[in-house]
Amino acid sequence: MNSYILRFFSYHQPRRVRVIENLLVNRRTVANLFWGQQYGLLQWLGANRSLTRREYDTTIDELVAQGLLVVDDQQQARLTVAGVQRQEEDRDHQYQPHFLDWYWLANTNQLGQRLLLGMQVVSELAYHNVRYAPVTVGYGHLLAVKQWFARANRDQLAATVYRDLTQLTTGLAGADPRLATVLTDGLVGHDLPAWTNAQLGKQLGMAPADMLVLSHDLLLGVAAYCQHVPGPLHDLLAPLLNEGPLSKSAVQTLNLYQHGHSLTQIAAQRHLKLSTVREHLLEVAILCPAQLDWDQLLPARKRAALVKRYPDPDVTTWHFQSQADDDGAAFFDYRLFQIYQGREAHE
Amino acid sequence: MNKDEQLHRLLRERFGYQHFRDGQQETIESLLAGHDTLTVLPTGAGKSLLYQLPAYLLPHGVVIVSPLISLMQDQVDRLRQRGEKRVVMLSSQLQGPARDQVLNSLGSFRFIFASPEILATPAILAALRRIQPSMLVVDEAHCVSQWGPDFRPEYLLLKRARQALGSPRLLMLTATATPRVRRDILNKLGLDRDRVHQVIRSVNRPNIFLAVDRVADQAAKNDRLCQLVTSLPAPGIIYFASRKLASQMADWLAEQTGLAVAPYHAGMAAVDRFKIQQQFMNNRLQLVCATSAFGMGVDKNDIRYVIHYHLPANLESYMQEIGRAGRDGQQSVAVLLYAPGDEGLASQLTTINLPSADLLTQVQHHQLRPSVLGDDQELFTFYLDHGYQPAQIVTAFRKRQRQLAISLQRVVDYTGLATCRRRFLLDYFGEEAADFPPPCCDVDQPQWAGELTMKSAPHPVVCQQGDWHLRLRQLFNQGNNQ
Repeated sequence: MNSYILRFFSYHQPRRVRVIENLLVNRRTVANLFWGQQYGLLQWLGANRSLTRREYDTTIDELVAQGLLVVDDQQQARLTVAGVQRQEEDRDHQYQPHFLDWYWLANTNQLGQRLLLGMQVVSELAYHNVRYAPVTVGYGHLLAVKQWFARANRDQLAATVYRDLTQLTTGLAGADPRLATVLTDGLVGHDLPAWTNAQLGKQLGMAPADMLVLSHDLLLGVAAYCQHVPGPLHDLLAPLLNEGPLSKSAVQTLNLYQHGHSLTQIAAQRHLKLSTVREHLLEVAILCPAQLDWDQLLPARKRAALVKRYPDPDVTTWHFQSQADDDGAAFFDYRLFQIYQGREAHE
Repeated sequence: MNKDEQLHRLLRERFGYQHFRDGQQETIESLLAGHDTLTVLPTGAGKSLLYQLPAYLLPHGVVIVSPLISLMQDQVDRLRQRGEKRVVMLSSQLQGPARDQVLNSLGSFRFIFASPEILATPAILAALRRIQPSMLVVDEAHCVSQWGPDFRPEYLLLKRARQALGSPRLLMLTATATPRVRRDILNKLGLDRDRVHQVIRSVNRPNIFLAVDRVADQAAKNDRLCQLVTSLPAPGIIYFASRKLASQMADWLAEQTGLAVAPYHAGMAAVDRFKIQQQFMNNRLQLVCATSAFGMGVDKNDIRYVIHYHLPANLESYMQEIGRAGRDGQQSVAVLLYAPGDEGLASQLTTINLPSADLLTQVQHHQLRPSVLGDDQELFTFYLDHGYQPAQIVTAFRKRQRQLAISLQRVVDYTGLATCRRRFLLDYFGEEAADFPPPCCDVDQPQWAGELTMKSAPHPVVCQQGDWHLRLRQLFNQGNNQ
């Protein structure tokens, strides 16, 4: 776990300890998304949803105790020289993910469970067996797989799934042969036990921290394949795929906004607080900036006023200067501008 | 067809057995006659059949209460494995639309597994009442007794839950219960002793040889462990008190012995636990390094040995855990490793950090958050939520702490015996002990290692890995040319 967490910190940029944790477990507040973007770590959103607070805090403590990381009184951490060295050593043999751009496409924990059960059901079908214990997954997956199975053409299912999976695995093997091994050796089949990630990691000579990255990456690869290629895997997993990086609610707000509704009107219409509507637009600004008409949202004269107040090109050093009688609009403009300038800086 | 023939036919056709095991038919007939029944059968004697078979003869669904989700999951898996689809598990893990869907279709299930706390949920109880269950099964019924070491306060809710369900016939099942615990079970569930049919069989498992290895220290214990797992025929289980150690020792043993070893504990993801269990069942693994989470539903009948690396908390757990060996009736071995000071660790693990009555009062009045109560906060809030007063709770827990210490002391006593270990165990469970023919235990037979005749280990199944084309063909039964 230590080298896993270490890869998210930097020597030059102090990073908020909690933001990194929140990104990994997919706590999508605007602040987390904003800082995630500033740290260049947005792609890791939801990369380790099972991470517990205790596990994370223990790891941070260990990294500090080993002299690899220092944490200041603002709970911001940065690498020490030794930390940088370790990070570089790790990087030489670390697994490099291929599919992180699809970070928003699916909750890989859920996707993995449904895939596992779905493939087990087909494997048992291929051997004409109806008496077996389904792999332990949530009840929702049981129902979903049952429905998928009921709709499928059973005479053809094993053959079509085999072809679909062969195509997918060929693609994955092209990116990294280990992905093909982990996917297929991890599937439960008829009288064919599967290997856990820990076991596969040992066989492949990979550290547990690397296996965490690989298995998440693998499932994003599966998700991306299913999104693009019609077939039984698509039918099985499509209900778990997101349409875009934005939350459903943010999409609704965005649609109304694009149709000319004001923020107040949207709040009234959707029975939401004005602050929630603002958060939705900030989410859009971070994740899908091209969807916004920036000149309308943050007109040039407003930007000119804000740049006077916040002249530093490094937006991470800014501190919000609050104004009297503010209903949240000033902070909204501030954060929007911060996102805008931060993006300019990145680009 | 008379009743006896009907039962045997069902046994053959649905469960694939020719004969009932001792105690099974008596329990089933008692239940079908409508009697509340308490059955104590040793581990591996086929307790699940006692409710599974009547479920096919009773008009409505059967509700089975189990203390642990993993235990319920094992039972659910085994029923599904037998082709039974009308099985559902009600626990706090079931939420949202899936939960609504289940509750609306509850009448379509034959087996409804429920955790005791979920039975205290009004919506669940109401849904269950509507289907008028034919039977309520209390699995691991010793958990209801405060005299037993596995007491679970949620089990105290069962008396009321049963009434709310219209008092269906009750089956109480356990593998280990001293006479005092048995009395307490009936008492806590509000039953009249004279009206409950009791089916009690000996907890003795004559084919399991009992041994204790007293070693000087940790290093000597590890050496001995290596020696044991390389000399005893696989498959085997080693129990550890900590998850971390179970994982570390699995790696170490694999390295030292070349055996196929894997860890298993509740800290692992559910699918990983499923995979390890499946590997073990299919003889891909020779040895599992586990915590007590492993094995409750492991229906592998050729486990040749169970080793305890740490002291179990009490003799009840010990009997349960060693009972996983030798279900096929063949010679098997239970070894308890002991190094001086081991009881310190065991006592640390069973210690409950008892908050003061003051602190409990503040939590009761919502002046402090329950998290101040530490790791056992759920336990304490359970009592507070159910109307217990802080002073009462403190007194009850002090008493309980003393009982846990006494239970542990009996385990320590067991390690130091100069007389027959089997007799000691049976005496503890209130059974009249006769003489036991050898092989029995290491007190009579200290050189047992070379003397026991044991069936040789099945060949571990090695499966080729890394060829994903082959793997996919195997998974989906596709020929080479496709």
